[in-house]
Amino acid sequence: MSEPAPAIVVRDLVKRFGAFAAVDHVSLSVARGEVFGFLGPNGCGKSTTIRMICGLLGPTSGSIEVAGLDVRTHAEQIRARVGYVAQFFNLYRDLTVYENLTFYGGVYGVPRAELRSRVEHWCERLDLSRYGRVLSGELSTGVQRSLALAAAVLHEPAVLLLDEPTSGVDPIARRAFFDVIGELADGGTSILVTTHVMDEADRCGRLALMDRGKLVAEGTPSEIRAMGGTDIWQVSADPPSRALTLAEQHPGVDAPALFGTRLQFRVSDGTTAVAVAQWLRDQGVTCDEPRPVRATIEHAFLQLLRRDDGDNE
Amino acid sequence: MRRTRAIARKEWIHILRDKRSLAAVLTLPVVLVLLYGYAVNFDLNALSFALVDDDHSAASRHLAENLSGVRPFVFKGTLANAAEADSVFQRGIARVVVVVPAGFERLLDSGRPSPVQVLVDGSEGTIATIAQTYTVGAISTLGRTLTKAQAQGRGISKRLLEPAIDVRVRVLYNPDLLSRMFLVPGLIGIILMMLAALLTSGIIVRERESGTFELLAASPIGPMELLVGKMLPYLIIGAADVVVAVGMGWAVFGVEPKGSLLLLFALSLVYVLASSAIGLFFSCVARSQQTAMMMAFVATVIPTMILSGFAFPVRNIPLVLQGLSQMLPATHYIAIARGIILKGIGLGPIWWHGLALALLTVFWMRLALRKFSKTL
Repeated sequence: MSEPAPAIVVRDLVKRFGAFAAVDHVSLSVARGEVFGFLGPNGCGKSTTIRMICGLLGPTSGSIEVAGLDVRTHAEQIRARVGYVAQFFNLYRDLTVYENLTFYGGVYGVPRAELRSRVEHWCERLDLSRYGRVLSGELSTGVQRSLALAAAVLHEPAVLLLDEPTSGVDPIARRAFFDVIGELADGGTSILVTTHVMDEADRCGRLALMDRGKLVAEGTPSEIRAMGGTDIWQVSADPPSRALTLAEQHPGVDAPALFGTRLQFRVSDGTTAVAVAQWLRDQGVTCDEPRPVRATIEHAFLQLLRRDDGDNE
Repeated sequence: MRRTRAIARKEWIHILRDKRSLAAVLTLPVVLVLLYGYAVNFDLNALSFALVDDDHSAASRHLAENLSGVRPFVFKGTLANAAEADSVFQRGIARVVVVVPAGFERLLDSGRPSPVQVLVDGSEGTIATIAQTYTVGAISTLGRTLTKAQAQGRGISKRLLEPAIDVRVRVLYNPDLLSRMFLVPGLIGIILMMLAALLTSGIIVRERESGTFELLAASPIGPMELLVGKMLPYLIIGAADVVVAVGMGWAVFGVEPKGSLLLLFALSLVYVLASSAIGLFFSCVARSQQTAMMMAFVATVIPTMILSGFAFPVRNIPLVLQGLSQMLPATHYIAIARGIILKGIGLGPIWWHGLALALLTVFWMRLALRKFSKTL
């Protein structure tokens, strides 16, 4: 099987607002049918990048190609092939679900004969049918996000750009949302999705981590997890907050963090997890034997951002 | 076309769903026609006058009595001397004081001209001019009848006293010279412009404010499709306002269009279009709805009140400003509306005003398109 041309190619993209570089020499490419996860803290430049790919913002320098077309010269043709779900609910609140969908179908030039069946299909698939005649401003956040997705896919775009599509959505709805995203990708749609939610990141084919305008890591979820390091240990401790305070003071303990009553930490500089646990007990904390923990994307995320901090100091 | 229709339909739903604004837009012409129609009035309905009678004669009493009987004179009383006129004017009791000097009757009897002094409160220029004209006219007429009566009493032939030229004036189009006949067509023009420009001043900037513009901008809709689609529903609203405003002028003030209603309606629509294009331009330029509205108001209503010929003839305006007044759609529309409503004329004498409206529409639309940007 020959490698198909990538759906999105971003090369050396820069966006400055005055002296501030919101996007600082970012390059990435999204293959056809791929779900590409875009991670990073708030304000790291993800949304700015997505808006430049949509043609909503002009880049300061660098190039963007979508479906083989340059954004600078073919903005309108690209817009017809891209679906966009913005970070905030931007549909018309005084229009019903059906009215909104009919409107966006019309604006994207979906043939009238097909529009009706597509609206029905997506309302069915995204569980919107029962809200058809409800004003979209009166819907809950989760339903609004589904509506925004439906509006973005009616014209069957080749590329789907989702900017935190599941913020404010409960875990069950989020899972259903990602099921739909998976189906779209299987159908050949290329998807770029930004998220904060780590289990969503796990469902992406590839991930990029962005921080302060720069890409700091890129790879498959397992490659990213591997960047989280291996020496992660966990103990159940009581009282947990005291255990955390103590662990922070212990030489050779890295990135201690509490998860309920469980304390996780890394060790380096010759110390061992067993030694740390013994020291905690010596200080009057009840704690069990340390067990190794498999690194998650969240570990990698924290680890990579921390390392980046160190570089900048 | 498909996209323009989608935009127009959506905009129409917005209008229908916002019941309060819709009601305001349709009742505003009613309120404004009533308000302006009754408040803006250059007719002198009551001309109050006082008398200083230094003659105390039958002739002076006769003059005062007869003047009181002439419309619109209202007799307010007799003053002791002319010096009191000051306080009468200052307190606003009368606009005119008529001073009949001692010896008035004697001079009249001898057949010589008898002077009468008329003092006019000149603080309100327009009204003072009218008051002066009315008073002088009325007293001259009374003077002639008085002279005639005196002459007949002394057996002088009536024929000798007839003036050589008898001028008879007939006023066309507005026989009673009512200012509302002159004002109502202009009023319709101002109301239509105000509503059209203010309504459309919101249509783009509102979407920027609410964030919905982001999705519109990310869609493949072209600027022309978007702007035209957004204006179409407001043209329907404008058409309804035309009917309401013309109907109000007719029903309440009796200003019945003498010419073709169809022509009036068609040219009114072109006018609404031109006014909407101005509002649209400011909607593309401004970054907030309030700013857009203020800009549209300052650019349309204010110059229109002064320069369009609504109150003052365009010919009286300095030449430089006359050029500006030709740039105002209202200037052309008011000429059209007065022509069709008062004179009953056809397209012949006013076609170029219609063309000017069409050109102004194109001008403002092009300007709006140039300023419109799909970036955030």
